[in-house]
Amino acid sequence: MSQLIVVSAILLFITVALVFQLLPIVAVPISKELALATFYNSTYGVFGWCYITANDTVCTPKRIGYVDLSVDLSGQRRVLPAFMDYSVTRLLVVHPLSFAITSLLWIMVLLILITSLGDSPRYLFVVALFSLPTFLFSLLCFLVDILIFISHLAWPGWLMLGATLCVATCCSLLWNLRRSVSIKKYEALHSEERVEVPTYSMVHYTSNG
Amino acid sequence: MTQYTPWMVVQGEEYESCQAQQLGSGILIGKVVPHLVSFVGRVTFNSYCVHGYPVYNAVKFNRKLSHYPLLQEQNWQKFISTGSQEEQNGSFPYGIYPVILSFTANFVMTVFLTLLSFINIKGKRHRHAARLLKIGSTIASVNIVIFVTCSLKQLHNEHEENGVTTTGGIMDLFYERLVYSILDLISFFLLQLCQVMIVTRLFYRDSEKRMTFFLGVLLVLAANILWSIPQFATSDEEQQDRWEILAPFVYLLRIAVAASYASTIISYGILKRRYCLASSQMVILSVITALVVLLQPALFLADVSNVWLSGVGELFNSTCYVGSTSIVWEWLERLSVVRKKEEAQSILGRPIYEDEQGDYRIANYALRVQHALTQRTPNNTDSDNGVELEQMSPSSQVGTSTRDTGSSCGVVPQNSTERESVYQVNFKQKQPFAEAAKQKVSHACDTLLYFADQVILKSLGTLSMGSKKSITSANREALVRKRIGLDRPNEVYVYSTKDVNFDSDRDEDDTQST
Repeated sequence: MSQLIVVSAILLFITVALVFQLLPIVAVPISKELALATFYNSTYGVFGWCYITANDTVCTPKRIGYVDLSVDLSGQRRVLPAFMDYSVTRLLVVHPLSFAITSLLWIMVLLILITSLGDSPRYLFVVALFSLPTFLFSLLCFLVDILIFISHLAWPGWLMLGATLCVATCCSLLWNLRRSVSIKKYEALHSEERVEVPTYSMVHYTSNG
Repeated sequence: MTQYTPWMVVQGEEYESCQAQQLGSGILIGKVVPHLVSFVGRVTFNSYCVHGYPVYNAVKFNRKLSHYPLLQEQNWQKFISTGSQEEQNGSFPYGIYPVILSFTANFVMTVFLTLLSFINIKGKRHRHAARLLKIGSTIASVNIVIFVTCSLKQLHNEHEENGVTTTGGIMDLFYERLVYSILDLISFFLLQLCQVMIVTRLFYRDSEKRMTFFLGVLLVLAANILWSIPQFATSDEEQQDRWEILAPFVYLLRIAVAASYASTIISYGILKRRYCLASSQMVILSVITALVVLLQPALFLADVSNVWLSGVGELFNSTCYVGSTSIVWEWLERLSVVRKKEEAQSILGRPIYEDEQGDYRIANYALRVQHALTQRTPNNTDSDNGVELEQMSPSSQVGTSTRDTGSSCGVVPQNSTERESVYQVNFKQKQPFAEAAKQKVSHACDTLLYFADQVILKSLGTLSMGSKKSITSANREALVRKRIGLDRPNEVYVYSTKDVNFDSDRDEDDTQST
């Protein structure tokens, strides 16, 4: 029962982390409402950025790494919020990568819940091991956002910190789960295969001599 | 003024004073002028600038006798006034004094921590990790000593030649000298390996220690190889374009690894908070440890938010690594002393965990032996000694059921794997391919793990191979004799016996008497 609760908690945390990671990905230019960061009249997302004019919003084509559209828009060179070079924005590729890895972890945790794989310490070891790069990528996403947008980060960007904390909690719970399943299996092994050791009473010794 | 972060766009303003100015005709006076004084019809004045930014003269200046032209003074005021982000290069934190202060502080801290690691870290336990820490911190100290010497020499030369001292020269020296990069790479690699060993120490189970070690070493290797690629890549523009994204990625990876290390250490401290709060010294050391491990992520935040000096994290990298290794090491040593003191008052020894038995082999083997013995015991009536063993319930049922099948000579029916005796030996049984392959792979894994345990982990842990060699048998014998009191055979001790009365006994007596 307690194992079920722990696995459910892990699944809940990883689902929350997944949703938190999804929001920055679907930000501009995919959706017009959400933005990873805002700076003057521009909104930034993972796959591009948009420039808000008086009448319309002009967005760059969807791709990894920003392109400079400043000449087409206003004739002035626009800088990124942290004065980073445009090539650095290619690091935003960690967002979809992290989302993919977290999705895989989510599926693995779901398998623990719905199948008997949760009783296998080896499978749990693999899942726990997989949670480490998931945590690292999630943290990298947050650091990349901080590096590029610093204080101009909007709430979907800050959600990455929450996602990192959720994944860290999952990671810790998975390692604990592996330990407890390992102990449980060991105890089960003892209880199933135990053979009663015969005991002999010293009173009934009879000696021929 | 220099650009601290290579991937940062610095949009500096153009200063007119840095361009050539036509002053017209006039008399020039000075040692560089032929005949000391000469009349020149057309004078072109070019002020001394670095990377297009004005530099003010550092020498003692008499404003009444000679002063800068108005344009220079205006440009200088514009340069030092802190306006927007891109104009901050002229602010005080980017001046020569804070940079010198940063480097000298870095120098003092690194050398001090290195000396501390040589004085404090002793003993044969964890000797490999201790050696790595000492070598790594020594290389970091040598690096910073060379750098501070070279930068002071460069400042002296600049002052002699141009009468100015610029930050740009020092920063160029810091980023572009290959020798610093190589020494940095070696010292960071060794210190990161030491950090891996520190994290390995935090786990008690051998399987977890082993896994942490392998994963940590892999991560450290990957991070350092990736870091060295853009550092040592050729200056070919095509290659630079290819690797330009790698430098910020590795920078962030290092911060991520440092943040993970910090969170691991802090969470361990929270788990062992009882030991951390054992004494006032431990409290202070725990606080310092938490601050030191958080220094690198904090400097990253300071860098990106530009609170002090952009790129200050890079300047303090060596101090961060040396500090977060040697101070954490000392903290762990003291924690283990407090823990052992507590363990000495209770049950001694390290607990054995169930997953240290690969596939529960020992447990399975023990159970099989037990099973086999219980099968054989009922038939073992030792008539020679005249001893008859009467089996008691409840295990009599097991004995009865196996009595017919069990053989006194150890002959076991071939079709029953359950009834294999411990005395049975099977020769040249042909194994299926899958089983044989599995056995080979398992053997290879076992050999690898054995190597890790014997060569790496055991040398870190309690079973030090080197210590076994170094302690001679005579020493050991003397140690044992001392422990059991045989070194002082003539001393006689008299122990007094005393009845121990418990309060509860007295209460019972009182109630009986009443």
